[in-house]
Amino acid sequence: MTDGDSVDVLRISGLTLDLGGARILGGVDLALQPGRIHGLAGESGSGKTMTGLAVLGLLPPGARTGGRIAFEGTDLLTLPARQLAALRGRSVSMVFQDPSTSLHPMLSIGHQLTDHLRHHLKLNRKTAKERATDLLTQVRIPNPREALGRYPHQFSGGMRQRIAIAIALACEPKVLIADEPTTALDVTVQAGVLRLLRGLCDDLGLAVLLVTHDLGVMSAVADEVSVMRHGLVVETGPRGRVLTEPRHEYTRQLLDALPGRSTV
Amino acid sequence: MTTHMTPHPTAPLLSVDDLVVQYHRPGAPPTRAVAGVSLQVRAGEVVGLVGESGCGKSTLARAVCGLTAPAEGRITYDGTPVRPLRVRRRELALTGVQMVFQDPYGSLNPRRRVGSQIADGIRTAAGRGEAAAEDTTPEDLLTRVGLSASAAQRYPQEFSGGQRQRIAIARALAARPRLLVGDEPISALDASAQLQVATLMRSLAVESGAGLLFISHDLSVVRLIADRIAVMYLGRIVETGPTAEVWADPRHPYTRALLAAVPKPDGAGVLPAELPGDVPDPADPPSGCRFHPRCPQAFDGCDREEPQLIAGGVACRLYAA
Repeated sequence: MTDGDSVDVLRISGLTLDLGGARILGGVDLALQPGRIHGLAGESGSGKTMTGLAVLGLLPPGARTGGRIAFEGTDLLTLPARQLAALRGRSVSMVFQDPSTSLHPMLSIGHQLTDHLRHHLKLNRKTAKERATDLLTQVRIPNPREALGRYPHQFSGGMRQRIAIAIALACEPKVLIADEPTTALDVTVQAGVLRLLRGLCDDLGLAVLLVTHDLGVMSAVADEVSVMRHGLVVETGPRGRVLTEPRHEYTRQLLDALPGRSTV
Repeated sequence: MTTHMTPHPTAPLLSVDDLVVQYHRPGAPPTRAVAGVSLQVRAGEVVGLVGESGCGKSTLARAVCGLTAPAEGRITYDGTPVRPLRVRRRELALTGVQMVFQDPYGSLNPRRRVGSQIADGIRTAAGRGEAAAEDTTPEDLLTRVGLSASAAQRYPQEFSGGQRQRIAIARALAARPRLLVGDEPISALDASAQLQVATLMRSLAVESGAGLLFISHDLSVVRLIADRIAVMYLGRIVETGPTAEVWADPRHPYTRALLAAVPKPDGAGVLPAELPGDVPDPADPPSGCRFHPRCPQAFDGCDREEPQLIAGGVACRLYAA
């Protein structure tokens, strides 16, 4: 955890989650600062994704939460659904693992981007289109103007993920939850998306929660790293320290289990 | 434990020679998804085929299994030419090639019990005259892939992605393949299940003396399970060799770029090297070496001369004899 609490744009404290009688999260503490990427590692089932979804209020039906998720001082857990909906996608947005399912297959890229902009920012058609073109340029889609009229299937996986990032960034959110954003991509494409994420985070002062199982990805872009196991954060610290001198036995095990552990 | 005997231990089990596979679209010239590929897989050998999406890996896999018809070239499995599958059932000899597909949500029949789907494979093997197949039960196979025997009575939707892929592997193994082809068999799986499923495929294939052609874009997994690696770019193989050698000393600039793009978990915060540009449209490949527009080491003539895969296992003019 960082010392200066005042800069935390998002602060999760003692987050618990019960789902169908099972305890999924047992008191998670995390803090995100602007311009920093916080990596959340752990095996599947450790609660990484659920932690991300809890921030956006996207938990499955029947989920019971406890603790606090403070976004700029407001507790998102107790916020009425309407107000949360206004925040979601605008101040706090999300990028999912698989861009081929997170984009609507039947709507053009332009439609999906401008809908989002018009809904949240109440832009008119023309301004929304201009902003959409800018966003596609920002995520480095070639021929952005032409791309607006195309459909998700006409883009490669990497391009789709860039488009999903463009949609997530459309309303200039303060917090971005990225759940395994590069897992479905080729390494060369992953490198580009990681650079993009890092750059956006630095340039826009975005606070990013990067959920990933890939400690290589973590090492490349995260500033802080938290390791989760069985619904608890077992270790948090600066990237360099956690990945080179892990203090928790479980972090050590994760590092030892890596196929690409030895350097090339 | 049965060990399959190969007639000629040195002869490759699968031999692909100068294979060309084209896709036709109305009003457009044909796209050569595989543009002259030669590849061998020996019994008991795991060959990892890597490359970016769109490079033709899956097309190659489908052609090997007879699911896509080649335009030119030859594919032979154990001496039998692989003829594309049509409405009639596959030739018996070719049922020794089995495939595990990428998406276990789509490759299993949702309306049939797991056990009966695996039993299909057992019947296939028995039909081919594999005597030992008669005594195998779906339950045995499920246990071999690390699932409980009771899974046979259940339906695919009752399982997670990783478990379904294990079922798909069990079904492929039921047919006693001598060549197992995995087309991105782990990429639809949850991250933690990926390595488990990949190592399972390797051990099951090697254990039964079968060859495994493992197609993946995940280099770190391929490195771990493959004996030999073939790197594909835009329909061609640009480098091939023993995995450890290629990993330690990648020679083709594309292989280097691929390996450099794998982020290392050293905590140093180094962004992986980016390979500029996108994979070109295979319908309109660059002239000369297909990699030259993105190649950091391209020099005079790379845009004209198409390099061939030389004996050393690399197709690049930097290494021209």
